[in-house]
Amino acid sequence: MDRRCVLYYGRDCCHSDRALNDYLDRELVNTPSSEPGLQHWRWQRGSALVLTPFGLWFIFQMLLLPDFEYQTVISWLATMFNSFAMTVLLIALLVHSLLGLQVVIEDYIANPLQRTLIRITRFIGIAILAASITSIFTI
Amino acid sequence: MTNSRPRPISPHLQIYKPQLTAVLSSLHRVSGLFLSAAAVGLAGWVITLALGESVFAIVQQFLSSGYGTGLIALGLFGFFYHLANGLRHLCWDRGYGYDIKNVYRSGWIVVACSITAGIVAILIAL
Repeated sequence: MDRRCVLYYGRDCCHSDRALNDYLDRELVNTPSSEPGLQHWRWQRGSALVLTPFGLWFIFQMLLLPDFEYQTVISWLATMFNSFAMTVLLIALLVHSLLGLQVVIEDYIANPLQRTLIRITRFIGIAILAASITSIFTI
Repeated sequence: MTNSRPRPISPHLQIYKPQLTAVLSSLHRVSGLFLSAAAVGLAGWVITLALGESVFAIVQQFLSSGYGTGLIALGLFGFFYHLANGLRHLCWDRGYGYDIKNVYRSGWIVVACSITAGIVAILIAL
């Protein structure tokens, strides 16, 4: 545990924005934690582990697709497994992106704006995620 | 305190000679930012599938144009690089490969793997 604390750029220990991180983590992760930075760390790594097989799977599938006609893509996505895998991929992708963008924003932008930007990116990201998953299951 | 003369400042990035470690680290962040945009693009692509054939055709027309193909190729290289370097990070998280020799060795492996995988993927796609 201690090693992990050090590895996450020191954000786990004594960070001045601890209260803010705690709040934002709860918004995304929905589990109150005494170690907000650790939650960020776990979700980033967890989503990375999901993205490794699912991302490669998606790229292989796209390379194997004979063409990109509407009907071809629709019938590819309409199968049970593909729509499920696509949903998992999109969730992991957006979670991983939002966590990464949060770190970038924290590194370069100072605080009143930092907080706003993180919330805006999360709002946009979750909205896009919801819309895309709804799309998969309305096809 | 008066600022009658400029205070000493800490060295900035451009002071340092570019090293593999620093360059790959920056590249991980840059590729991550690019892939975040690509992720939004992917979600948007899925949404256009639900919006119907005419909307999908417009998007597909852009993707098959020169710009679209270039962006996809860049995205493939970015994906394989971010993936390979991400796995390197996961190894570090487990405590492996921290000494300078292995950091450089794994760095070059990442460069070789991502370029190879990117070229192979593009050749298959053509």
